[in-house]
Amino acid sequence: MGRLEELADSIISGKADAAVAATEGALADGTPAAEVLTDGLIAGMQVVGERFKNHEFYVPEVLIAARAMKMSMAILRPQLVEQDYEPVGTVAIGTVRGDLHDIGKNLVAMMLEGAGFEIMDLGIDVTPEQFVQAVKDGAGIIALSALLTTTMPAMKDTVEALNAAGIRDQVKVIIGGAPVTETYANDIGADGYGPDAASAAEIATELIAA
Amino acid sequence: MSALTVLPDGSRAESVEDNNVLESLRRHGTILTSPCGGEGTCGKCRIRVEEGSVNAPTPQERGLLGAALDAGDRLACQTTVQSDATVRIPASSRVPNVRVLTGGAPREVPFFPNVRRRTFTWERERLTDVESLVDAVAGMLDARADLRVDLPVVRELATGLEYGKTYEATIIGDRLVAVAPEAAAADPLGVALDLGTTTVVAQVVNLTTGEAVGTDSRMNDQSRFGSDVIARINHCFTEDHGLGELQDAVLSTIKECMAASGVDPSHVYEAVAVGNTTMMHLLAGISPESLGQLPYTPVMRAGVDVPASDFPMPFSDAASVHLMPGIAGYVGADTVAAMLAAGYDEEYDGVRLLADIGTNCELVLQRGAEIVACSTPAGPAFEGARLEHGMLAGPGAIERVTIGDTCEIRVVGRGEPSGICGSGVVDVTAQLLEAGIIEMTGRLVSGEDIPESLSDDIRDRIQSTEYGPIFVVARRDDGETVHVTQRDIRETQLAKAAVRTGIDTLLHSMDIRAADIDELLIAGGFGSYLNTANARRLGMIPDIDDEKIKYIGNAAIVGARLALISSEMRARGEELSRRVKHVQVALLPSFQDRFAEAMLFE
Repeated sequence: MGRLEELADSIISGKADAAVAATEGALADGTPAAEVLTDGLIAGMQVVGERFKNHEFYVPEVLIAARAMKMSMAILRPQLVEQDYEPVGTVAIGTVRGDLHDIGKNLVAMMLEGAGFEIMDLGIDVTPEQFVQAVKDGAGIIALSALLTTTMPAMKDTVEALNAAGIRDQVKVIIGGAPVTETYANDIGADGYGPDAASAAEIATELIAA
Repeated sequence: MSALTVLPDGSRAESVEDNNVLESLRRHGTILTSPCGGEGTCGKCRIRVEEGSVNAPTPQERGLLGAALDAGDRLACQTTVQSDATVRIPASSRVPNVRVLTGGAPREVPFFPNVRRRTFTWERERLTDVESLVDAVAGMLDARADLRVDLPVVRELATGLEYGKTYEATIIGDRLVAVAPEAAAADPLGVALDLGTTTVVAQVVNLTTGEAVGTDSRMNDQSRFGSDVIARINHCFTEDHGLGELQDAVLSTIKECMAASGVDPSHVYEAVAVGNTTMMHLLAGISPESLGQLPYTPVMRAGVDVPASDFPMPFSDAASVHLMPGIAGYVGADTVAAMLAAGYDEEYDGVRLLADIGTNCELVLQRGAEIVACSTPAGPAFEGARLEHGMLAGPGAIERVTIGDTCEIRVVGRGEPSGICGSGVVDVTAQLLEAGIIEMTGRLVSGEDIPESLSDDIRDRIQSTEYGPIFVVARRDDGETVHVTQRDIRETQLAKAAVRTGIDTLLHSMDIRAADIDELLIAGGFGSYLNTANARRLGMIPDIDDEKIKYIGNAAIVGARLALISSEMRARGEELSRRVKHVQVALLPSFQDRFAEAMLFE
């Protein structure tokens, strides 16, 4: 098995030590950091995402995988900067106003990071104004999460705030969370809907390529 | 502050701020009869001062006690101590205790319902020197000076009473609500109501004897608007008449419970309702919208009394409904009631933890007099909801599972299994884990990963479907199976992680280790049974010895009943609701990480 396959495997099984060893080994072999990222780390996270989508993996497995991913990323990041690696895009992500549910939002952030995005994590209880500011700060995509039907209306408010600020055309909006549906996404004028963390990363990748 | 020695038992009480003896004794847990509410008009709270300095007798005492004053008799409500003192309390002055089974240790509580029957003889002589017939009745009843008389009774007084005859008066708190010839009316009844998101329980209690005379529980009719409180709150947000629909739904459920209980509803004079904060809002017709968003602040928290006719509830026209107070948006009146059942109104020598496990899990930690409470979202798995074959603990529910060479089950009612309830879910998950059929991450094994040590029967039960692997818990005679799916295991992981994270966070907030817990009281909808070893195996509860764990069943309904039969317990519930410290665990920065970690099995 090659170093990059090893890296992907250790990400999937959540073995942080093995992931670190494979990352360091690959870099020592002279593999460019961008290739380690794409063919090792991102490839591994893609499998994690698929398994999560198919209910084979659950929150704990994704978290363990993400822990391994982060350790590997910590080694890769300085090299990527040195080699002028450009992230796929920048996503500002947050749980909307009135809602404190963090786990789903964190999973999406991990998947997005695993898909090569730069993440601006705005946290929980994020107001429409904060999302507007994130766009002004350079986010190309904003990702909104809500776990309660009672807080979903804040998604609509956020899209309207982007319209009011006149910056709606500078940003793609994706939404998700247990009670959110594709219909709702269309109704409020969002650009995409992710039924799960893996799909959210796929949609973000498509939107940025479009 | 002075010390009071209380005879005959010799216990010691401390005087309260104004040194009033009645109140000092009450704080000490010694409750004296005082139907007049401590006004010095009924003469029931008689005590004898044997030592110490007290105030001079009041004019009321001179009138009521006369010569007995010389022997040292006093009325506790009129007496203030001026030094350390010794008082003797005759048995006749004490409120009798009543023993209530709680699921845990039975409680002896002062029997003093808010609804009381008193007799009086309508005497012509007593009608002179009073301002009105109403005042005359109040005097004959030895009732509190602020007694109010309901208008229908006033009308009755004008024409309906015969001189020399004895009548029974029904009093609710400070209201005289009915007068009837002696022995004509049946004993007054009260109803304890536990309004759960999923299940409503109504228990009818005879308020003369304190005995429960009937209990009925059924699915909350609000369920058709969604299975959790958020769905109900959202219904109020999105539908024009949403709030009214939800209030009507719970009222119709209560009506069905009453019909099933078989008692004459016109004999019911009071109900005490408990429930989670959303249920209490919906019952009262108060919009719960503020509970649907951060910071989850309830509109109301304090206990209130509402005329039953306002709802309406199917009781006597004069009946009153007491809504017990809650603590916070997600720690409700049901938790206050459960605390009363568990004895949290008294200081505890050690550390104990109460876990009321439902769709929302409430946790209350007590050390000495200090109490901290929190809630965590467990989801409905332990109530059998949202699982492929989940059901409430009732006939047909698999409540115990043991996996060895085969899979042994016990079914509620011993008939054919039709589903699996909370305790069965705990068992099957723990047993699958123990057998190596579930991995540490919660994954159900399949194919090559199935341990070879398993018997053929068990191996046959691990099946793959288009929705992923399942484990067959029982095969029915009709060929159908009762099974758990991978998704069911995930729901159980969420539930157990929520419970455990709440427990750990609460322990952490008081700097207590799990090993320091002297008593763990588990309440909730597991049915009649919870295997604590399996609950420990899941990591749902920390490593605590079996003898320290008690399963106390539905503590909320017991607490509601205590508040129904004992005004003292009702007052203590009110005190608790104000005194308990609430921790908003989900807002603590470490919570989400801990929650996610806790989903793993060790």
